[in-house]
Amino acid sequence: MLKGLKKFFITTGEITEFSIRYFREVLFPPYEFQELLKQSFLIGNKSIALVGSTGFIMGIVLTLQTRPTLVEFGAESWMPSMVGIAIVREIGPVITALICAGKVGSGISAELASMKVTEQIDAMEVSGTNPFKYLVITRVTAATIMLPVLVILADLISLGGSALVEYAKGGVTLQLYFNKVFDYLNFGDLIPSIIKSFFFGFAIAIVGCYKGFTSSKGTEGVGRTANEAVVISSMLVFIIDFIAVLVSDIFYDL
Amino acid sequence: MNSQKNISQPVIEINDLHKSFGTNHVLRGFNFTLMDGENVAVLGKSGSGKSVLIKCIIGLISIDSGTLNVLGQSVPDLSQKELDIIRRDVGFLFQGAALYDSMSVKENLEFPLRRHHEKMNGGISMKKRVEEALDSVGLLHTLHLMPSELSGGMKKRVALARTLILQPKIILYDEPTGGLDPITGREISHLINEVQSRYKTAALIITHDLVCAKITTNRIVILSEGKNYKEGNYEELDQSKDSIVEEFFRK
Repeated sequence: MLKGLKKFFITTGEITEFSIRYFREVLFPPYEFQELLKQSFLIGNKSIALVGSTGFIMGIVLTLQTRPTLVEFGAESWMPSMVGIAIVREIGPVITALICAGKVGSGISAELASMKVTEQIDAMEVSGTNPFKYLVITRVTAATIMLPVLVILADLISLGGSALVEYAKGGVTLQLYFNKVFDYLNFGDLIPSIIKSFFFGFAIAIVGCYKGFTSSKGTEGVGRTANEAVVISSMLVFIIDFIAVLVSDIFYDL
Repeated sequence: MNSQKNISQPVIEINDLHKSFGTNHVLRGFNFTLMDGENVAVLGKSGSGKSVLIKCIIGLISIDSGTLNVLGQSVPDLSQKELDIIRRDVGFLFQGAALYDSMSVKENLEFPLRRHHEKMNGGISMKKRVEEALDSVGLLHTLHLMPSELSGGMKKRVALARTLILQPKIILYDEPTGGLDPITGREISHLINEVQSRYKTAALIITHDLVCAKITTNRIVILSEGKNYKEGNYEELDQSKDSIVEEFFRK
C-alpha cells in the first residue's frame, strides 16, 4: 500500500517534470515542423475512422435509449437539444479522448519504448538531434492540436446518427433536427468542451511519451509501458473533465 | 591484420575512469589512449562494462570521476551544444544497428545530414552523399527499402553507412559482429578495415569476437574488473600465459 502510494507520487512528480520540460523546450528552436505535420497526420487522419464510427454509434444508441422515456412524458421534441447538449458538452469530448488514449497514447508509448530498447533514441542523440524535441514535442503538440479537431468531427457525426434515428422513428427532418440542436446550443456549451479537448490531447500524449521515454526492462517493458500509458491517461481524462466542469460552472453558470 | 599508417596524435585519452550504477562498480580506473588512424579493440566478458565505456566516450552516460578527452576536449565538461559539435566527428555503430524503423534506408542516411548542414560542403548533393555512403558498404540497391526488410548483416552495413555519411574522424563500434553468423561477421570485420583505409578514421571496437579483433585491430585491450588488464597485439596476447588472457583466447 505504502509502496504503491510512493510510486504514485513519484510518477506524478516525474510526469509534471516532463510536462515542464515540454513547455521549456517547445518555444525554442530548432523546430521540427516536418515531423509535427507527419505526427498530426498520423494522430488525426488515422483516427478519423475509429472516432467517426464510434461517434455515429454513440449518437444512435443515445437517441434510441432515451427516446422511450421522453415519449412517455410527451417531451420527444426536446430530443435534439438534449442529445446535442449531452454530446457537445460531455459525451463527444470524453469518448473521443478515451478512444485516443487507447489508440494514440498506447501507440506513442509503445513506439518510443521500442525505440529506447533498440537504442534508436541514443542513435538520434549521437547524431546531434535532441530526441526530446524530435519525438516528444512533435507528438505532444500534434495530439494537442488534433484532439479538438477529432472531437468536433465526432460531435457532428454523432449528431448525424441521432438525427437519423429521429428521422426514422419520429419523422423529424434533418434540417429541423439540426435547427433545434443549434437553437439550444450556445458558446457556453462549445467553448469549454473545445478547451478541455486541448488538455485531453496534451495529457494523453505527454503520458504516452513519458512512459515510452522512461521505459525499461527490454521488450517485456514495451507492452507494459503501453498498458500503463492507457490506464494513466484514461484516468487523467476523467480528472481533467471533472476540473473542466467545475471551472466551466464558474464562468458559464451551467 | 590491418596495417596502419600516419599514427600520430591521440584522439581519445582516458585516465582513471570510474563509473558506477548504484553499488555496481562497472569501471574502476580505466586508462586508455586511441591514436589517430589506429584501430583498437576492447575485449571483455559480457557485463564487463565495454558498452558503458563507449557510451561514456560519446557522452550518452556521464562519468563519476577521471578524465575523458575526445579530440582534445574534455567530454564531461562540454555543454550539450559543444557535445553535439564533437559528435559530428565521432561515429557510433550500435550493437543492434539502431536504424530508425519508421524511415526508409535513404531517410535513415539523410537524417544526420539534415542535422549537420555544415557537413554538406563541397557542393555534393545529399542524394549523392547517401548513394556514396551506401555504395561504400555495397548496399546501394537497398536505398528505398525499410529496415524491417533487411537482414541482420545488412542492417549493420546500413548503420555503418549512416555513421560514415558525416565523415567522422573516430568510429566507435559496439559489438559490430554481435548476433551475426561467422561468415557475415567476417564480412563486417573486413568492411571495417575497408572503411578505415578509405576514410582514414580511428576506430575503437568493443567486441568479444576474437576473429573480429584479429582482422580489424592493431592493438587489443583486455577489460577485466573495470580496468584495462592487459594490452598488446593479437599475436602477443595469443601467446600470453596469463590465466585471464588465456580465458579469452580459449586455450
